[in-house]
Parts: sequence; C-alpha cells; structure tokens
Amino acid sequence: MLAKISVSINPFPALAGIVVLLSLHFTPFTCAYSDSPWTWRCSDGISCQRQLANGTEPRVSLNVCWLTCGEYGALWPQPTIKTFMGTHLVGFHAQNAEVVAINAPHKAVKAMLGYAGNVLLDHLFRMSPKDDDVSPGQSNRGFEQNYLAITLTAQNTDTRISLGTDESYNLTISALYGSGGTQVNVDIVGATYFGVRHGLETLGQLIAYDEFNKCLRIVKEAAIEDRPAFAYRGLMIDTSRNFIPILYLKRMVDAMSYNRMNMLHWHISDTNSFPFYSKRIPHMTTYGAYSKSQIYTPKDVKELVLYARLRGVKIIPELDAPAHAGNGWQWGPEEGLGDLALCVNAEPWRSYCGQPPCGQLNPINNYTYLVLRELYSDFLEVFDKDVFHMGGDEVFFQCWYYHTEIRNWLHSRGTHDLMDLWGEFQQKAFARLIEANGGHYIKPIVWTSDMTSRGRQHLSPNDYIIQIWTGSSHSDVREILQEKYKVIFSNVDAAYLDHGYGSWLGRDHMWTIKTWQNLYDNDLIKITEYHLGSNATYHVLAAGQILGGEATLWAEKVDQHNMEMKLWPRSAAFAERLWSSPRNRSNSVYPRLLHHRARMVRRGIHADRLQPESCHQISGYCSDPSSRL
Amino acid sequence: MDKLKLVILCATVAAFAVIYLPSESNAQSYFRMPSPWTYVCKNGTCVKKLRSDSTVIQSLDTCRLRCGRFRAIWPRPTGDVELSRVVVPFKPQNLRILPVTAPTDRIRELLNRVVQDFQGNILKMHPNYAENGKNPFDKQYDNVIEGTVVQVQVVVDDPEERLTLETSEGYRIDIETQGNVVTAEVRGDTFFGARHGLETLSQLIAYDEQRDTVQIVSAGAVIDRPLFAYRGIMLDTSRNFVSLKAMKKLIDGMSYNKLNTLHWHITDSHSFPFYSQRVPQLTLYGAYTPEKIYFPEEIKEFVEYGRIRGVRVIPELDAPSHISGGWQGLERSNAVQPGPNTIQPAPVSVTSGGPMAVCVNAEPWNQFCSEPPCGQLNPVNEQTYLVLGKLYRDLLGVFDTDAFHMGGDDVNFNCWNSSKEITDFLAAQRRNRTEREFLQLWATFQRRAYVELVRAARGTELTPIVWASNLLVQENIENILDPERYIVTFRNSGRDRSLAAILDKGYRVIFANRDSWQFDCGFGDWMGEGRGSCGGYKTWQRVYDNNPLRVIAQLNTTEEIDLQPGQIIGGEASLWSEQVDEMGMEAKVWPRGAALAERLWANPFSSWRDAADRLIHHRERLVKRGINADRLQPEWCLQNQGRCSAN
Repeated sequence: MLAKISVSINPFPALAGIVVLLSLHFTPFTCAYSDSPWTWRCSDGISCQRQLANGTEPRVSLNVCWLTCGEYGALWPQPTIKTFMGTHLVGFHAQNAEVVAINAPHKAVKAMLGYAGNVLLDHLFRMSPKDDDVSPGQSNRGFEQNYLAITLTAQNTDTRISLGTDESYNLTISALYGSGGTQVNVDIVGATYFGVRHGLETLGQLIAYDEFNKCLRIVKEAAIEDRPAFAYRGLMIDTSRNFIPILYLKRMVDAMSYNRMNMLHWHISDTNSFPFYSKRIPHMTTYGAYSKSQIYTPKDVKELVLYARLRGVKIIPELDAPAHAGNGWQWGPEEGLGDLALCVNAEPWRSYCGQPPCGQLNPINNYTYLVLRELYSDFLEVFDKDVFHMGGDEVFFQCWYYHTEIRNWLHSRGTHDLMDLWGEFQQKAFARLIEANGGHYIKPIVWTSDMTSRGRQHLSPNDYIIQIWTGSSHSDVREILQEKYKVIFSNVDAAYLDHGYGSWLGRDHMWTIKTWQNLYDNDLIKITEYHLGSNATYHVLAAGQILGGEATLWAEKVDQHNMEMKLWPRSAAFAERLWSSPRNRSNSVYPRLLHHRARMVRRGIHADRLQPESCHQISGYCSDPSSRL
Repeated sequence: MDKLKLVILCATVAAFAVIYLPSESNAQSYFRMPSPWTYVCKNGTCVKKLRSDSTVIQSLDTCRLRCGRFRAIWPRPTGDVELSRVVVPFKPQNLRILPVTAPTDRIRELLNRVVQDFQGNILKMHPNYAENGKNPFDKQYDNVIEGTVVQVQVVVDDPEERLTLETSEGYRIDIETQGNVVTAEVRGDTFFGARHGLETLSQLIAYDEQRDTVQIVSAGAVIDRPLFAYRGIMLDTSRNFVSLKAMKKLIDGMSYNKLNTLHWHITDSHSFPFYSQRVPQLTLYGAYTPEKIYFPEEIKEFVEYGRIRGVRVIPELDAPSHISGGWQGLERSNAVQPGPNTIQPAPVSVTSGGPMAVCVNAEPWNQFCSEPPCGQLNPVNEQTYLVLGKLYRDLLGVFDTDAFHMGGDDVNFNCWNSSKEITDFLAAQRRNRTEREFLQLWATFQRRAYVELVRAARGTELTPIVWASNLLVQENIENILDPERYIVTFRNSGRDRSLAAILDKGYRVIFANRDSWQFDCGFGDWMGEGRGSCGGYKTWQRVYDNNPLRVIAQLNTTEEIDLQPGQIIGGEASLWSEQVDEMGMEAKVWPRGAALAERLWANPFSSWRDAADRLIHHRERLVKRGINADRLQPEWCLQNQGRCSAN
C-alpha cells in the first residue's frame, strides 16, 4: 500500500536521476500525469492521435481532444439534423455546474427533469478522479470562477413513452464573459421530457475531464438539433432461460440510456422457468421459478419500470404463448383445472418442441384462457398499458397433435390444419388481454412465425405489430410489409447478440458472432428497399410502418455474469443505426465507437474490448490494409 | 461552499431515490408453499422430481455431493476415489483446523494462508453470503449440528516452497467419522500438493438447503496427482492492460481448478507496462498511461499471491519481435520515415549503435510485422543485448521462477532487411540477404539473449521457453538451441506437422494449439470485417477434447513420432488481448479454463459428454466464489441434468 502511494506521487523516481545525469530538455516532473510524455491531436477530423509533447504548446488529453475532433466530436449516436460545435473550450469544476431553471407545464414533468438533471450532474462529479484535489486558490488557471448554467424546457405533459412520443430536442451552448469568470449557458428544449433527457445525455458527451488542468471542459458554443430516425430503438432480454437479478436489468437500462435507446423488451417467461411473481396465481412461480430467490416481485418490477422511464426507456413485457410456455404451468391437474400446458418437459424433445424443455399451452382447455387473463392483469398492474408482446413464435404442431382431445377438436371442426386452432387461440388470448386492460385497446406485438407466414388472416394489420426475427432477405418480410403491418426488425442474420459462443446443446456451432459492424450495417431502409424497391419503401417509411429495430439477447448462455460484455458495445453500434440511420459506415465511425466504449466503461458498464488500447490511444483505430474501407 | 453544494446534490439524489425507488423487497415472503421439487441420484446424475413422487428430499447441491464416481470434484482425480454416500451436516464455525504439520516455518505460514481461503470458500457456499458481509451461518442450529465438529489436519513433509517443473503436486485425503467428530486428513507430497488437497476437500463440502448449513462427505479417501506438470493460462497485458486486481481474480479462478502456471506475456509492441528500474524510459514511453504500469513491489506481492494459490507466474519478455512500445524512447533516430502514425523520437541518446528497435510503427504494417504496430529489435546493435540484460535482471528480481519465456515468435525478415544497419552488417560480413542468413541472425540473437538471461540469473541455468517458429525446424538448430534445455510452446494448429519436427528434435513441448486452446478467438476480426484469423469461438467441448497425445497420434506423418517420457510437459490456453481487458476477461476464460484444467490434470480418455454435468455444476461454484464465468446452458439444464443434448 505504502509503495503504491509513493508511486502515485512520482512513478519514475529512477528516471529523474537519468534526466539529471544526461541533462535533457525535460522540465521537472511535478505531478503523476505530467510524467507521461504524450499529448493528443485531432488527425484529419477522424480521430485523436498520440504525439510526443513538444514542451511549448499546452498538452491536450485524449478525452478533451475528442470533444472537438471530427464532425460529431465524442457524440454517440450522432445527431441527425444539425451539429454545430465551436472549437474553443471552457474549463470549469463539477461543483460549478447547476440546473438553474426547469420549465414544464406539469409538476410531474418538472420533478422528472430535476431527476434527469441530477443524473447528469452525478456523471460530471464522477468524471473527476476521487483523489483530485482542486481546492480553490491552489491553482491559478482561470477557470475556478467559471460556471455552467443549464436550463431545461419540456413543452408537453407526457410522462410515459409511447410508440408516438416526440423525442426530439434542441441544445444550444453559449458563453457570457464577466469579470468573475465565464458563464456557460446550456439551453435544452424538447417537446417531451424524453427529448430533454436525450439532450442531457448529449450534454454529458459534450463534456470531458482534462487531466492536465484538473477540470472539466466544454465547448464554448454549440447548436445541436436532433431527433431519432426510428421511434423504436430496442433491446430484448430473456430472463427465463437464465434468471437475471433486477440490479443487472437496471444496469442494462443505464447503458441503454447512454445510447438513447428507448425500448427494453422483456422476454420474462419461457418454457424453462416462470420468474414473474403473479399475485393472482402464485403457483406459477412456485412451480416455475428456478428457486425462491429467482423471482421478480411486483414491487421489483414497478421499481424497474419507473427507473427505466426516468432514463427514457419503456419496458415492454412479453408473455410468450402458446409455445414457449411449460415450467410453471404444471399445477393444473392438481388444482382440478386439467392440463393447462401440454408436453411439459416431454422427451425425446425433438418430437415435441424446437428446443428443450418442451411445453405448449393447451388451447382447448378454457381454464388456460382464464389463467392467461389473470396473468395479463398482473402484468398490466406493473407495466405500461399501451403495448404488450404476446410472443406467438415457434408453435410446434406435433405437440398438440399427439393429444387425442386436440385431434377430436380438429375432427369436430372438420379441419386438418392446426393453424385454425392456433388462430383461435390467438384471438381468444388477445380478447383476454383487452379484458384484463379494462376493455381498453392495447397494441399487441407478435414474433414472425408460421402464423405471420401463412395464417395472417388471424392477425389484423390494424391491430398487430410484427417483430421480424426472420432473416432479412426472407420473402415473408416482403409480404408483411406489403400488407401494411407495422414492423420491428430483429432479423436473425444481424441482430442476435447471443450468437457465436457455441451451441448450448452440443459441440457444434450454429452461428458465428454478430460483429458490431453487422449490427451497424443492419440498415432497415436498405432491407425494405431490397424487398420493395425505393418507391414503395418511401411510402412504407412515410406511413410509419418501420417502427425500428431491436437487438436480442437470448439467455441460453447468458446471465448477469456475462451479459454486459455480450450487450456492449455492439448494441451501441445498433443504437446509432436506429437513432441516426447513417447512409454508410464511414471510417470515422470505428474510432468514435472506441471512444464511446471507453466512456461507457468509465461509467461502470462492463463493455467488451474491440481493439488494443493502442488503437484508441495512439492511432485512432487500427485497420487491416487488405480490408480497408 | 462547494462541499456544501455537493452534499445538497447528494441529498436530493438520495431523497429522490427514497421516494421513487423503494428498497428491495424480500422475495422469499411471496412463496406460500415449500418447493415442490427434490433431486434423486440416478445413473450418476441428479434427476429433478416432484417431492410427492420420491422418498428422498434433497437439494441439487446435496445430490451432487452424493452422486456419481467423482461427485462434484473438478478436475476429476486421477487416483482412487472412494467416498461414502453419507453426508454429515455441520456449521462452519465448528470447523477445527488442527495445527498444520510442516517441516519449516515458511511452509507453515503458506499453509495457514491456504486454510484461510479454504474457510472463506465454505462461507461463500451460502446463497446469501454476499448480502451484508455477515456470516450467514451465524445462528442457532439443532443440538446434533451444534454438537458436530469437523477437524482438518494438514500434513506436509517436503520443505520445497517454489513450484518448479519437477515439483510433485500429489496429495491424499482421508475422511472418517467417529461419533460427532469428522476428521479429514490432507497429506500433500509438497505444499502445493496439500493446497490442491484442500481445494478438493472444499469440493467434498456443500451447502445443505434443508438445514441452512453445510455438509461434508462422512468417510472415504481420495488419492490424486496431475498427469501434466504444466497447466497454464497465458495472459497478454500489452495489447490491453489488465489490472493486478483482475489478475488476482484470474489466479483465484486457476486455483479453484488446480491450474498451476500463469504465463504472463507482459510486453509487446503495443505497450510496455512493466516498470523497469534499470531502463525506466521503456516504461515512460511504452506505458499506455501512468496508471497502467506494473511496479516491482506490486509484482512481488502478486507472485506471492500466486504461490499461496499454487500458481507460479512465468514472465515472458518477447524478443526479438513484438517489441516497440517504449524502445523508441531509447533512440536518437528512427529507421522508418515519419508517417502520420509515427511517433517522433525523443531528443535523447543513451546508445551509440543506431536504433535498438527497427521498423517501429512502420506502415504499411503488413510488410513489416504480423500486426500493427510494428517493431523488432536490432540484433546487430550491441546495446540491444545490454538493455536486454538489464531488463532480465529487473524481471528476475521480482519473479521467482525456474523457467523464463523468451518469446521468439513472428520474426519478420523483411523488417530486418529494410534496416540499413542490419543490411550493412551483413554486407560487411560478406553475407547475403537471404532467408538462411536472417535465420542465422535470429539464432545468434537467441543464443546471445540466453547468455544475457543466464548472466542476469547469476549463472543459474534457467529453463528457457520459446514459441514454436520456423527457427526451430531448421537443420542443426539443436546445436544452437539445446533440446535438453529449451521448452517450446506450440501454438500453431494441432494439424501443423512442424509439431512432429520439433518433437523429433527432442524439445519438450507445451501445447497451446490455437485451433482448440486460443480463448480470444471468435469475437470478430479486430482490424477488419470478418471472423478473425483464428477462426471461430473455441467451445468448452472443443477445449476439453483437445487431448495432446491424441493430437500427436493424429498427425499425418510418415514416420512414427518417438515421444520421450515427459516430453509433453503440459499445456496452456492463450488469452491474447487485442479484444480482451478486464471487462470481458472472466467470461472469456471461465468456465472454458476449467475444461482445460481437467484435460491437463487428468487427461481422460472420455470426451466432454461425460464431464458436462459436473462442469455445469462446477461453473456455479466458480460463480459463488466470485468469478464471473460465462453461462453454458439455461439453468433448466443444470436442474435437469443430461436432458439438454442435441441427440
């Protein structure tokens, strides 16, 4: 410990001797960082590169260099309408930053804005190292009296995100010089709380710590106008294959907010386990949770929903049905309700389902629908009441077909096609969902499936949103778009974050990893053009059919111990795709992403490494001459 | 004034948190009935059943402790394992560690430190261990549990306190129960054997959910020793820095798996994070930041940390290639023309023979090195050897090892060929600029570097380790690099026939074949767009099935390879750090490192299938002890063993 302390004072004691001995041109070392010989300079507007300091020009730290390097500086995702940033910087201390005015038409929005302001101020405090002693008067660099004054204005009373929320914002920075120091005024105006919050996120990225002067730096002037290209910028997390504690879902929300992602789709249950505690039907967790410590209580969930909302993230729950339901549903016979689910944990699994354990709801037992209604009611007590994911993927007809009663049902309806039964299930389940919502309409989302392929008569385009997990070039995508469905893209060829870690069922690989480039290049407009041509694509976009995209983290091989390195920074790449919809991937993207990743790590997110630090620190990024862009 | 403002800010954030973010609720209170499940041992695996269908009520942990030939032990022992199916519940406070029997005070001190970790690992078995820092077993149990005592006796006769390639790591455990006293004796061949024995003993203890305490196997014996002497992980801290705190966690994880060697690729061309007292310029110019430096005292402490956990740390100073970060600080001039990426040399000269490093940061890099940034030592500059000698002295001053990795990979002859000093040198000696001459230059460099190493070790003939390379397959290389002395780390594909040539020359080999044991593969090409040069992700199954003897047997060679006893000294997984730092490191190492560990400890004939259930269970143990190991399967598969199979 002692050694460490002396080290931080002067890590190069031996060097000092050499310096004297050879009488070199070094100035004496006064503090730890100035012992480092480097400074950074923006090169070609692409990235900051390391150089030896020449002793005459003031040294610039890597983070400060990034503030004004290139068209977008350190901003991620890049703003869409207007990005103007001056090149002059002002220094200030975190304690001299303040939210001076909050304008909003409603008390609740004001309170939320106050909270969001404090989240930003908290980031500013954390930017400075803990041991940074900046007692006033000690140093004389002229920024002790500088002041950062933030004004926040939200124009309407929205306190929840919906699919139509206006998330745009304007941010302006101007400096006023006075005898006491410089006052930097930041003005953030948004239609909604959520827009203003995004503006605060951007403001946080316009500020960096300057280790040479031990202060924060911000540009003197800026004018940014920004709004997202797509309304739905999501991530999906699965907590059924493996349980993930609430704390880690909050961390996920934190990281999403740093990337202005706004939808967290929570695939809360599946055949593996049922961790959502239902007040009305506690049997679900008694039978379905992995253990008594691996459940989400309503209180936990409410807290998470609020936590996320304050960070601009809506949580959309999914109760997957009729397939992907098994463990948790076994108690029916014991309680006299008959089989609520069939084929639960059946073997050999290949005969009954797509992956073990098997399980599928029993569509000809009326109690199944009653239980569903009760569950929907429990969900709607804790989640928002405007959008609900009903699942609907991978129904395995063999499971149903093995049951005599179901074959009898087919016979009685004079059909051989189980799609009819599934269609009826979907309609009944949707009716129960609306019933649980007090008779009010609620927007259902379903996955692409056999039903969206050949049973679309059961899904009205006016009612349903279809989440496309099908490969992007599949002909179903074309038909779905042509028939005017609203869609969310989670196409398996790019948006699956869990791929690449080997199969969990055996030795073989099923998929290779989806790299950050795959996610960045997953251009929803180009996919639509591929299917419909540019003319029709224009109309599809104008009609708002493309809600956006969502990267998915299925949890066969995921839990809280590894989820962050699998989510980040790749999801950040997708965030820029969805927010900014850039035309292509220019060579300034990679270095800016590396810098953004470093920022996420500083804020506590365990994002994976993409390159050696030398690529970030020395050369901006590293590229292979044989595959240069 | 400012402090006050900070306090007010914190208070508003906290107050808001209280209003909007209610405190954690107790999930347990939501359960209105006891768990309906139990686990039954059937054909060596634990099967989940409804309690109403079974006479045995036990948790998964208890079942695993009583089920299967190897119970929950990982890696599987190689000698006799005879264990009772009876388990005895006890509370950790009733664990009595008897005074250890040791030949020296030093061994006693080391053993006492191991015992501390052993006791800590037992507390970590409780599911609520981490919640409040209190001992979760601190409560009143029934009379039987309160009256049960577990005694642990550790015995070591051998005074060896340094793990070498010859150290015997065997141990035996004997457990017996008389009345309410369970006695476990752990007898190690050496301190290191006893340490492994205590690790195994901790795996014969498990959490007892019914009684909310722990339990131990009541009687039996385990006899065990490793089949390979070198069971390692290589970590690169040059591409990206890894803090010693994170490296200590790596050591922890290794100790839970009886891995015994951390090969520390401490420097490379990217950065030079080792603080050299004799040549501090290397660190000044070479470290990423002043925070990203390993200082001598810290390393010494780290080496001791490893020793207590049965892990020796072998440093690598890679040469003559894979250098740069730092060496430019020693030079007056630079061999390549300055480009946008070239760092201007400092106006300093401590050497008179031209640059010690050539092609530093040269572009286009793929003409001068295997990956950017480029850099290679100048073998014809006498100063190079002086500086190397100083570095060796610095390294040997902080590490405690009988083996030293000298690098020796990826030497790029075009780099040397582009350096005027080197081509002038060859011309002066009337030597051509052919591959043969460059190989000769390299061999001479290696020989001279080794002389410096031995000199730095004050004449002790340290065992040199080098990477397999085209140098080692040259005719008569044996005359320069003595096979009796050199060990070779083989990291090419297991199908590469140069392995046969190296074995044929009689070199001892450490397996690190990249097709199975390179843990950083599969995360995308860090420079380009594709999958990366080393192919896909190496699954744990592939890691487990990489049997070195089978790899050799399957080499398609014309002549049979005549392996000498002990010629394969073991293996290591490599974690090159282009795409690794401490954020993602643990998930990339574990639990695949555990699969590697069982392969190297026991080298079983069987494949991963027979080990899968035990590994999945062992992964949970690693997590409980604080290792952020990757998930291999849904928890359903852990609870329903043997049922998640593609077949």
